[in-house]
Amino acid sequence: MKILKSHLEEKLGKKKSVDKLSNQLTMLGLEVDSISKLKSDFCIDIDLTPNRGDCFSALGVAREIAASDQTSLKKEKYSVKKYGNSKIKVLVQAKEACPKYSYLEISNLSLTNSKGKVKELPQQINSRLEAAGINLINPVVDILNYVMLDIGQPMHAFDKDKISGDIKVRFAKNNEKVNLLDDQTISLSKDSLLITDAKGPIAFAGIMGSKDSSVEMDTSAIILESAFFAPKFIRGKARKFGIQTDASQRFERGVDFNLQLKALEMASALIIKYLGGSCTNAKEIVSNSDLPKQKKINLSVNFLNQKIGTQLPIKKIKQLLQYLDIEIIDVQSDLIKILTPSHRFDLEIQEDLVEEIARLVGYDNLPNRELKTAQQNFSKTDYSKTLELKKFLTHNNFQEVINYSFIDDGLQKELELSKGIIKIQNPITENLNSMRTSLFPGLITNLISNAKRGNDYLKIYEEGKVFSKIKSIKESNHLAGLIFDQEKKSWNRSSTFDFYSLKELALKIAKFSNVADISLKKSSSNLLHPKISADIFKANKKIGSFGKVHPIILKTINFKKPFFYFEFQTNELFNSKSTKLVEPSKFPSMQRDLAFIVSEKLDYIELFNEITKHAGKDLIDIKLFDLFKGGDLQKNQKSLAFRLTWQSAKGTLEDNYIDLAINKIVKNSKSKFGAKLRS
Amino acid sequence: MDLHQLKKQLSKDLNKASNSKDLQDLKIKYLGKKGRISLLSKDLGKLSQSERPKAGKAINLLKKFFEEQIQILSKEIEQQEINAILETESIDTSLPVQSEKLGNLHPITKTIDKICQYFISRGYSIEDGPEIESEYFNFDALNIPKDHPARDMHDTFYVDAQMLLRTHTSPVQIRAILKSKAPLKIICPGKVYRSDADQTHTPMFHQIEGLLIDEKVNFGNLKHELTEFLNYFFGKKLKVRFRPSYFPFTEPSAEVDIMDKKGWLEIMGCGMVHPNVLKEAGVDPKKYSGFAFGLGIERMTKLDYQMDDMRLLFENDLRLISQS
Repeated sequence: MKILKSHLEEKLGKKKSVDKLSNQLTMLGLEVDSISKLKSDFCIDIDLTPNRGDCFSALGVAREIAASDQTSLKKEKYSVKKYGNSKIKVLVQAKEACPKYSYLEISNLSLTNSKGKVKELPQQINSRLEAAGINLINPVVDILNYVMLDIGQPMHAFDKDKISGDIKVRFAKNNEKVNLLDDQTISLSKDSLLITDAKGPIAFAGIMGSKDSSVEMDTSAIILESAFFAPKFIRGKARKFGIQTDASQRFERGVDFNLQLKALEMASALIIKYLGGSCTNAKEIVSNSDLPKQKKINLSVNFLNQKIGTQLPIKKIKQLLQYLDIEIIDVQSDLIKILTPSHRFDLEIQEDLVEEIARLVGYDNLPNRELKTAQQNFSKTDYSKTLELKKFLTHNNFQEVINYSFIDDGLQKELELSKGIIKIQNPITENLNSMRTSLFPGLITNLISNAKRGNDYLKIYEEGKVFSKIKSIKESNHLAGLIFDQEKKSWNRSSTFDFYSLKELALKIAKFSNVADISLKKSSSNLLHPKISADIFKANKKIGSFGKVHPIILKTINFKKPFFYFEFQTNELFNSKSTKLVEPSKFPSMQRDLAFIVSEKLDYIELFNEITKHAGKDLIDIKLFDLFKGGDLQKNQKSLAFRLTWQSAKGTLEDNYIDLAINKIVKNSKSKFGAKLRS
Repeated sequence: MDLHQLKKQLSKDLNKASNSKDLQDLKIKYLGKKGRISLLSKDLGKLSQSERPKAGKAINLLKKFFEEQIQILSKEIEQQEINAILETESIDTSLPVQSEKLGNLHPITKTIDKICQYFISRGYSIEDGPEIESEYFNFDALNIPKDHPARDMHDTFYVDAQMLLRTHTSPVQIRAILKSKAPLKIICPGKVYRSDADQTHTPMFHQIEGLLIDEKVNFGNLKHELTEFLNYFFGKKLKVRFRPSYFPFTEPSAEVDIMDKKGWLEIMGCGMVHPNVLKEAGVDPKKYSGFAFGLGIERMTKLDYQMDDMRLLFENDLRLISQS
């Protein structure tokens, strides 16, 4: 809310420096967002929190300053002579939404002077409205807006001659239409509150008047409305129809329900003063049982002092409460019984009063106290493990990236990642309209943008949640990385990142995370090249995939050069057992080298499995140290050379034990794969 | 041969020696079992009692002389030999190496961890919660009923009628209390979402939520805990101020500002946990009280790394994020 410094000073009856005022407001919880100089005055922009509807006026803000200064506000009084009663009848049907409806009639006023020119209001009123960002419309509307700005009561004026029959306050019928002042017609729902006459709606209550009943330059008689609309019937409506008004903002936060007659008095006095005319007595239709109640709260002095670490005496607390217009009903030893003022809707429980006292004392004046609790928690979480894993990748020269969790559903569909996709009903833009089911789309976006800048070598990873809904919503933590290596290598390094580099990395991640019982199978991922990829399993559960990206994906994303990708489910990496350290064997190890010639088509793993099957339980290591094709070998052959190491924890192994194992390996490899020993 | 001549011969031999093998041969020639000096010592027995001491002394002197010379020579030769090795092993160390770009954690991860490490050391445990959250946990349980004006402060993304992308990390407060009961001390870092985008807002951003519940926790404890934390984070004693604010789930509520070069700078929100929130999570507000705080990671990252535009953090331009 924007307000002029001079306006506040008028209410306070004294001058204040702008810096002091601004600091004081901020420290009271009315945060000053900005101050701008306007001629000899200052416009102060206050960021009001939604609980403080009572500060939505010069009066409200000044009330806070006065309380903090421990003084009282200057009293203002408007009075106007009244003639008779209005003949217009108002029927309030929706009492729960409109517990109080006050109105009066002003006739014989004129918005223009004898020359047909619009009458001007004092510069002070105009500049206060302008500073508050309230547009000048016509003198009647401007005066009503000024009353709202000054004391906080939103009002409305109907052109009396445009009203037919009695006025009703009622809920709308389904799809009932109202043509608003700003010329838009909206279709209402049953919970919307309307002011109507015999012909139909004349206002969307508390939010905006209708075009047809509005005050115009030739208006000569008006009906002034000053009502209390219950916040819960106004809340959400303005937002629903996209029409926030100064009135709706105030009504939805709550307007002082004892303010209506005072506002009528002030408005009619100003209208008659500047526009002429005479007014009727005000009429007020009240449903007491539907009006908010001033609340009774018991405040324990002990409780208060404990909460904020003070030792305030009861006398001081009583004094501070009274400066806030909080009425003290009774005091019983430690308990102060109070009644909340009608302008405060945010005071409900003892803690609310604690905050009030704390505000007036000043948060900065409250003591800091070291916490003496010894409560410590040692529950294990995945946070540290995840961080370790991220650092592991970082040490392997991967750069971490963070992408939005929502992406374009079109891209997810194209990549066949749309199974169980969760759409956002109100996305900020269409390309951020669905929750990611994989980290792949984000990472390829990063690849494409960085490659465009000429990056020909990229190792990036991301750790975060992916989302899907099959039966219910599921979130799981993933870790994925992308390796793009098209760089011209240096004189001393020739190897380019390939599938085997990736396999080494993937197994290191599993090993680093201490996952036992790892196995690899052909990958089932649509994203990966079917011949250059693998899925990684923990027991029988798939925990990740890695490989070269499928050429069809490259086509889809229109990226010409190949790259590698891996994705893990991190939750699965972490629920592994703790490690038990085993004492190494004291006995010597034995090594033998064996080279087999086999068909080129035979997968390494087949021969490997056969060797380990027959090598006996003391085999501790098997290493493929040479893979050879060509030379003296036939075209469809290859040679695989293994170094086998045996060691026992129980004793030194004998040569003939090893020989026996080797014979068995050779015999079985020959019968199973036709493997020949290379001499 | 007399000793004099032997010494002459010996000096000549020493002069000829040029490598460690020559030295080894000389040692054998003179000091070996059948070495010339050794033989002389053996022959001492042939001399008379009176001649023996003098001759023995002379042989010892010769032996000492020889050993000294050998030692000096071997040092020289060793040095020459090492010099030769160094010469043959020489390479051009000025050749360039291709250094792989170092990997780095994202600045946001670094900021989160900087904060987490502090609170871990103070005995807080780290909690996690879903990012697709129910209206109940995101709003109702936090004392923000339907149509409450505070819901206007959160531009919420919905995935269906009841489920939304959490607008703050505060729902984890409720989840943590329900899980661990009071007393407890937790922090929760994570992603949150609001429909807002400009230089200082991105539709996804990160927060850290803190919650402490115990008996007799008061506002002074909150002030102390957060002041100490801010001093830690910025690595110096700061001017910190607490001012009244409003969050539906705390009462009293406060914003925390720090004094920056340009004036007061809003850093985080906090307050004493509202009794309605405690009740909703099954904690007796008569027995327990607590405080909660929340801070925006991007803001802290911006301050720590002196950046202006928050959106850059999510563009993932490696030239930028690899600097941190």
